Amino acid sequence: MKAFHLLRREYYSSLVASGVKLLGWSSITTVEELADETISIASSKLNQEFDKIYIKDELLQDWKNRLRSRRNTDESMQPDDQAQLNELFDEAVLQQSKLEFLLECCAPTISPRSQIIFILNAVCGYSKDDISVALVISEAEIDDSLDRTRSKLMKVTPLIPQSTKLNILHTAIYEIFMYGYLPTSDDNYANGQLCVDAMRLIKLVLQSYAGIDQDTHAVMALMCFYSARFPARVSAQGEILELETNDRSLWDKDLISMGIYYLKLAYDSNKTSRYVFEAAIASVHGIADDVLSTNWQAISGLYERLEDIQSNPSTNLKRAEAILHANGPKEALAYLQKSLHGSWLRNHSDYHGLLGIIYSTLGDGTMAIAHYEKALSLTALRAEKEYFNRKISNQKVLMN
Amino acid sequence: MQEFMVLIFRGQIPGEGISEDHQDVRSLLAWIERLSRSGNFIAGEIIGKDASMASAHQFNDEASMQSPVNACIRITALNVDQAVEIANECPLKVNGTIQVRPVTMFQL
Repeated sequence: MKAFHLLRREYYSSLVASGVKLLGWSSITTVEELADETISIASSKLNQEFDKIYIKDELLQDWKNRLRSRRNTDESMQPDDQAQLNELFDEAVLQQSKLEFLLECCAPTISPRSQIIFILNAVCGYSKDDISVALVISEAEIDDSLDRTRSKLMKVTPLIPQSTKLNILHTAIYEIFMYGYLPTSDDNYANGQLCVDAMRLIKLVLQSYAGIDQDTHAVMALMCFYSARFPARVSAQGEILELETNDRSLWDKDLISMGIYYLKLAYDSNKTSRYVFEAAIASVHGIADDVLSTNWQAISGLYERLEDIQSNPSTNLKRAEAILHANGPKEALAYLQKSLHGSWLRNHSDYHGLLGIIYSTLGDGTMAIAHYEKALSLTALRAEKEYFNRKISNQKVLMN
Repeated sequence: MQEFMVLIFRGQIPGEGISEDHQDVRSLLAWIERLSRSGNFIAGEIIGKDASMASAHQFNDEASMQSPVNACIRITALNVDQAVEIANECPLKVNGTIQVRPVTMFQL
């Protein structure tokens, strides 16, 4: 089973992209079934410890035969089809096919969530089990989503501008990364593999697509800055470490430099986007030695501009945190009280966690503890429960 | 991008509200969080079940005084198909129905 998963991760997208290129999107279901069969046969050989290069050659040859056979059942192959078939597996052509496939997945009639489920399955080679764990979603929901997506992709749709597809793709890749970066369940805390796969996808776009825009660079920059923090985010004991207590000497400097490089490419004074602002905010954290020397005024200003584009409970909370550091607890509290998303915020553990910090800074330990306790009751994550328990203990020590 | 109003009708009994137990609110919050992350969420509120009426006429219909709409969520989507797909993923769909309507941007 392990061999099957490994081979699926490595080859599934190549098989499916080349299959769809040859047989068309109307055959997507057949192509996926054939690809799984091909990988299943190859994985049984891998289990018998055949040489990996041999397996790869065997797998690709088997795939070509299956495609040829499938094509022959539909129509007679022309003499030049054989050459076309071989050409499909040229490394550069294959990369291009994967990119085209990835862009074609981004149809505007599919929900963002279904897009990432399909991309994880068909492009990243994730099994339903993997997706279920990664997105905290049931297999029935995955099946339903995949069926709906396939049926939409099989339909001939009016010509969709490449720029629209690229925008959709940016969102999908960003979301895949964030599912990995932000904790979603106890089994899935800081899922680095999703982040790595999201970075592979954006690299594929950067390397193979001529139509990239500032957002492609901004999404890459953002991922570099966030990935740089990975080694310092969770302690050896599995505790969540706040940005304040991160050992920044563990942050990956090369990734921060790479982030700055891509952010410079993304910067355009005449055009703005959520990704550019988010990457710029991450860059300010990335270049600061510690929390005290962080330019919180700049971060607060960037969140203000981000909210002009996109205001939601999450940006409200992050901006409030920046205001706390830049202007103090009273202004942060006043800002939160004015939030248009109050009803959602009040049910969020992070909101009460932040209020706990605000009241603690204001010297009101009783209110601080009340909010930490509320936060504790709202989170389902073990690591967050431990974090809020520590906050309560520390606050009690401060009050005695 | 276009704007849509997602109206969540919970349950078959008029006036049955969104349950205040943690699971209902948590699942709705998780959905809102996902929509925020993908850039589709604009605003929204859960609505109380009891309505107070303002009408030019006498109004005594008790059943109509209880609103069957339990939440309104304003979203952006590329088109109505995508808006419907997004609404389809709302966790409260299981015990109710959901309506998607375009927000009309009118100009005099």
